[in-house]
Amino acid sequence: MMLSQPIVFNEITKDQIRDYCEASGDHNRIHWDSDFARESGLPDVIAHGMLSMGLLGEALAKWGYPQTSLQTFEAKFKEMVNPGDKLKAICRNPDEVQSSGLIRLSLSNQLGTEVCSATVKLLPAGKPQAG
Amino acid sequence: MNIPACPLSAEPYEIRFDQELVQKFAKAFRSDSPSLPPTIGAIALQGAFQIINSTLKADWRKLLHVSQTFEYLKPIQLPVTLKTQTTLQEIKTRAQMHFLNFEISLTDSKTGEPMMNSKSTIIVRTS
Repeated sequence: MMLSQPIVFNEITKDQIRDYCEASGDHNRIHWDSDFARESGLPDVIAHGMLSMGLLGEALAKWGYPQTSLQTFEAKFKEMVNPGDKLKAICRNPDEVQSSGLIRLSLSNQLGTEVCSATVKLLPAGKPQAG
Repeated sequence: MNIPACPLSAEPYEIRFDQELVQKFAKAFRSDSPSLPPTIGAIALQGAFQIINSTLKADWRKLLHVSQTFEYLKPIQLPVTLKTQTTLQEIKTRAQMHFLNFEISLTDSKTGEPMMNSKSTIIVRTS
């Protein structure tokens, strides 16, 4: 896919957040125990920030930039992600990626609120690959 | 929450990076890609969680992961066992929040080669 094309993800589910607990080993109860999350003042369980960053990693791969083409990957977590959220990844600088070697990414929810922003520095040889 | 002297390092430990681990991440991302996710190093954040639990004894409900950086130093060929060294570099306190800066280095357990670095900033609210 072209960098100018947004990547739209399926709705975030509680099962998916639980799967991320399994993968990452982060079993904080606010990610899987709805009662505990509510007692903590949250509407329900919330997704890990690292799940958001991981989805931006997925978007990179779909745009043709797999892990092997990256030098650094830096993310800032801005808003909570809840079950039911529909997330969309965009590249903010598609026309400047080749010249700058940087990819600026943004992940936003169905309200258009940015939940995670990130910057990738590509390896000098980091050219788009089939994806 | 306890405020220890920094930098504070945790005991190094080993993590196996294999196709099974890749598949667990791919499942969580609802991905059909067999390639290595760039955030697979998230598995090494457990060293930071251990310091938060055992030394800081922080309340997890007041924790917020605010930023994360990975630096890729060498291509990772699966399967491989990486040694993980976690250091709490510093704690800055301002506006009723503790900012914890963790650095994690991942090295090849056989050759000792640096493979990946990770930096995490985690906030603990005090109110």
